[in-house]
Amino acid sequence: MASEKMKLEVWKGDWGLPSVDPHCLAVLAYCKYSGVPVEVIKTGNPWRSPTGNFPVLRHKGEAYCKVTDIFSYLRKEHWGSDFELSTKQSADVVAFSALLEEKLLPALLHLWWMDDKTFLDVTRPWYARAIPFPLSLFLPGRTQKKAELRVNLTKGGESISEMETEAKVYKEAKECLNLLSHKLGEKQYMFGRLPSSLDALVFGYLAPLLKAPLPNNQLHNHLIQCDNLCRVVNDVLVTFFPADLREMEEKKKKEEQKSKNISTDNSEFPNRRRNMILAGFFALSAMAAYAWSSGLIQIQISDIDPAPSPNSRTNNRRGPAGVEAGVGQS
Amino acid sequence: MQNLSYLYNIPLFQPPTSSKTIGKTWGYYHARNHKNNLSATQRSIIRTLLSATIFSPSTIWFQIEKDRLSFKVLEMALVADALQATIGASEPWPDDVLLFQQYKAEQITLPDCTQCLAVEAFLRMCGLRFNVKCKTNAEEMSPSGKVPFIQAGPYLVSEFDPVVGFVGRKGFSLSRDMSDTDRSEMRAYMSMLENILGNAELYMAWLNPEISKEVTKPRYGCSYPWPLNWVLAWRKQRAVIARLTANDWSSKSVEEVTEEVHTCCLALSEKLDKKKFFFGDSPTELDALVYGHLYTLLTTKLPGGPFTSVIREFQNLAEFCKRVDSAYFSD
Repeated sequence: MASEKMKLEVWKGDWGLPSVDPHCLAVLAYCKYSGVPVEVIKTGNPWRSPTGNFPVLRHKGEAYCKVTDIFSYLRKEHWGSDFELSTKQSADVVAFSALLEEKLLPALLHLWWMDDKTFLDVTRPWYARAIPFPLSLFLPGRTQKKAELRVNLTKGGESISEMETEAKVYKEAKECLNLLSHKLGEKQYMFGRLPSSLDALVFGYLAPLLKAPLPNNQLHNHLIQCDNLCRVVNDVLVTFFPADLREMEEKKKKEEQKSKNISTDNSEFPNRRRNMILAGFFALSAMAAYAWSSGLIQIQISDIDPAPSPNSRTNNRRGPAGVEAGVGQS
Repeated sequence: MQNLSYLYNIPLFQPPTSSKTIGKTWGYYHARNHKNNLSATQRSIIRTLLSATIFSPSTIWFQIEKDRLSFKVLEMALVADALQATIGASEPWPDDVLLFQQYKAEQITLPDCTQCLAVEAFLRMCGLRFNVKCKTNAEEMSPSGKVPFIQAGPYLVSEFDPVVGFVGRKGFSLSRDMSDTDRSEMRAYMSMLENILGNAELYMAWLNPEISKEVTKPRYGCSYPWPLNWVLAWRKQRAVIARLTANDWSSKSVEEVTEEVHTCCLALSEKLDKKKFFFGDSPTELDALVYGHLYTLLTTKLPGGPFTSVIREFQNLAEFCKRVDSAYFSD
């Protein structure tokens, strides 16, 4: 078939996902479903991408950037399971893909890029870490602007306030999740036992929502209530992306070990206390030495006195009293 | 700023501060001066609206002309479902419902026309009484800035989905007896129409240089005097371009757009098959929306006739349009 291997560039993964971007996830899932021999490059450097974003599929000198373009190209190369579908089911694929783009995508964009808390706590730090230095300064901001335009221009308008737009977007997204859940029912995939391109899209949109640790989790909570959708996402992750799950587990283990190390630190507490006491003692003695050398305190050594008076004898015996007196004088 | 809470026993709002809310302030203040003119029903409506915390003061305002109280409600679909139920169930479908739109023959543009026709078809399919009222400034009158909108008693509701929701709360629905799966499919096809055909119409009407220059812009500005007709049309075009740029449609070529429309029609044609309506023998919201889009595209004459030939390929869709037209628009 293909003489040259296809190369697919996607955003890096995290939280047990092969990628964090819904579109990258959709393409990855589609490739896994239909067993496309593709070399996946997980990267954070969009320098070479024609649009400054991922996914990018390169094959025979051509680059495809949009999900629909990639799907149709793969279909042209006879990869994919959509051929098994009846014409009616293919019509459903078109309709539900549009539903996802129209109702769910704006909410995801809003959640990731326009919700202040999520953007500051999760999105921007993540992309700033993933993207190499000079690009990381302005790419997240640019993407945010794009997302804002998209949500506000398509969902809002001049006479609708931002709050209302937000409420509308999330309401539509929740409705969309319900519709998907109804459509899926008890089936393994949307159209029975074989996954289609629609399943890939659904997986792409839902997986980050389910797995990413987002502070604003109203959509997450709604998704958890749709049992069958969660089941599909988890199944796909376990069956098709076990490596990433393992990676996450290893990471978790490492973190656990780290936290264990911290607790062993705690068990060396007595040692630390000794060090602290030593340091404190050293500091005190240094201060005392300085004070003595600069004449702030005077210590009288009265042993030399040939005929010690009762007064000086008490002075000699109780050194600290002498010190106290010295400090008092100064 | 005096408040109304003592009048109606309602929780108090923050007084509006920004210049944007001055209109609403006037509304409150005015209402107070005319408290004697309010009927008991009107008071109860105000109380319901204001006491629901979800209804922020920015979403409603009302004004009183003599003894008539009218509300301007933005986007009914946005408020909580519980509140919708209380508002909608209180009154039956009024006699004097008006559907506002622009003048069809001279003024309306292609994308607006599809929406107006869809809402009209939906109301006719529900068997509801209403009158179409043409206004040159319908777009400015609409609470969301988009045509069409209906005025039912004190409420103004604009655009297709909110109208469907509003009518549903009055007890009329075309999709009540459908199964959950069917309803989710219906919603999916409706978003496909909005997403593909809606954008394609905007693209053709405003981005295609020939059509926008010869048809859309002159029509859009036809009710204004000279410099204004040019300026307003240009502003509208810029807004549409910004919108289509935001969702990646403006970068498509005409061929790609036509291809999208073809895919969309193919899907619709497959879904319709040989049935009378999309989900059996009775019409649904989807039928109204499909009729609105396809009938307009089939009957509008544009230079180049972009999509007419595409739709003509699908025999059953054209027949569907004829069927709906004769069943519901025969008068």
